Amino acid sequence: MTTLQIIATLLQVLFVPMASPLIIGIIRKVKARMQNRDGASVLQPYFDLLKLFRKDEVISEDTSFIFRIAPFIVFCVTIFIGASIPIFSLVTTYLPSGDFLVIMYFFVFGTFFLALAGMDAGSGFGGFGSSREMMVSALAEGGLLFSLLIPSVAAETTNVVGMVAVLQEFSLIQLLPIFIAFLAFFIALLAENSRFPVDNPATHLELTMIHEAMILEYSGKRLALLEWASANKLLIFIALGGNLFFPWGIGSEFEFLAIIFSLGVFALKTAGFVLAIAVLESIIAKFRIFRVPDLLFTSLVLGMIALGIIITI
Amino acid sequence: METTFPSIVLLLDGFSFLLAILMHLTRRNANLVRLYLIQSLFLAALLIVLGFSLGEKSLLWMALLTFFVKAVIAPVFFFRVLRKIPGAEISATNYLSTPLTLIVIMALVVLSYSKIIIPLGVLSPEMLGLFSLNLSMVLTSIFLLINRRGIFTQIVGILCLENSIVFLSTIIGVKQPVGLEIGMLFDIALWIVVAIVFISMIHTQFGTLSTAPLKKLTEE
Repeated sequence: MTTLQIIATLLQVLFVPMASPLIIGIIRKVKARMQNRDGASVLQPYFDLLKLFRKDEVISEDTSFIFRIAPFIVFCVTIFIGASIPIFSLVTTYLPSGDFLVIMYFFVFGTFFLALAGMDAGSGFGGFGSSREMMVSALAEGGLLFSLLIPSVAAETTNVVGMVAVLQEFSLIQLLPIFIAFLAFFIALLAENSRFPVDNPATHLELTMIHEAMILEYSGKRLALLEWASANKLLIFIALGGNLFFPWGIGSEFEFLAIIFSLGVFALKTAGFVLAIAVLESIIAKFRIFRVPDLLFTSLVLGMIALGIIITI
Repeated sequence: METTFPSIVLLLDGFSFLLAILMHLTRRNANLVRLYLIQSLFLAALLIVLGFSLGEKSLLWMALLTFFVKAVIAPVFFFRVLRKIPGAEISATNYLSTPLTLIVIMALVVLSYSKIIIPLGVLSPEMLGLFSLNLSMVLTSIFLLINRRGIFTQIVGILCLENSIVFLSTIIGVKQPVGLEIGMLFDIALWIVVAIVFISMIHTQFGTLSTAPLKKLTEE
């Protein structure tokens, strides 16, 4: 393994946790600008994490070990998946863990522990947060599965790196079902990452919160890990969306310039997603909880329509 | 169809199809008009692309007229009606719920791509995929007409259906003399004006834009 390969592999592993708070910071900044506010610095999420890591934490005596280990599980899951998906190179990440089903169900694994931890303290907020999260997660899973199935069927592989490698050679005509599947994926992205119109990541209002309700009992270092994991998850979804559904600009060779170019292309794709999320959150209201299933069902049906097209095209 | 821009044609077609699906999901009539406006712009763009790739000036003229009638006149009239009629902003409900609506759309798409339509495929043997996509768009537009209770939605639905038919006929290469095409566009412009007058009259008479009270028109 050459020095460049070692650096690229390290970069791949560290990229998601290092860059993810910046994504959150940029989304907040864009939203603030759209509301005619200056907003906090884009680096504020880093400062928030630092602050939380320095703080002591309070853990209820009624909680079990689940409450204590859940943040570590959730965080490790995001690091593991972040290292397995294509970000800027197709060579470093050709791992068995890059199977899209493995990725999906590792996310579900993390969500499962988070929901358990939400209920563990026995507070009403944690309970309803977990209940809502499970409902959203179960409904979003179909859309996510079908949206990722389309590139998988098109590329005839379930490995996300393999999919990107094959889809890069596709013409725009062949990519049409992939673009339809992208819409399904984007809805699932919003739901899985607790963004508008499914959840409001900035609220602690009893009636509306989902993700925040589950982590309400956490403080200090464990809260920092959960916030960080949440940012990681968003970046992973953006990376999957940007590279699977728009599979251009990812280097397949270990060359310094190729990696720099790929990073630049990835930054552009990420900027597109960040802007879309921020604008969407600025122009639409959060849905009532009973309208959320309609939206998630739309995601599922769009995925199925794309699948119908791709198997008959 | 000999064209040097198949990818652009497919993208315009694909996005127009998605817009037809979105029309089923939107509850606000203003959004419905916006979606129709974008779809019409895509149709004009499709005609421009084909006009250049096939070297036919008539298609460019058609694109210009399509833009004028469907992307300028129609939205202006519709938005004026929405501003004038109180309560016209929100569309009347669907007959089917959103999940059922989406299931029906999915079934229509599967039908369009199934072996049942293969006999129709002789119309466009080289571009069977595009043909199926456009057929899906036509069926989805017809379903928009059937599924909505609102008069306004049904009128936009008819226009969306007309757009879909133009997409389909353009893809399979059905050509009419330019004079006839212009006459059809003139008809559409006139139809939009008549529909707007009807909307106003129905609202004045029944105080709503839902089709439900119109059932009472039948004699006992």
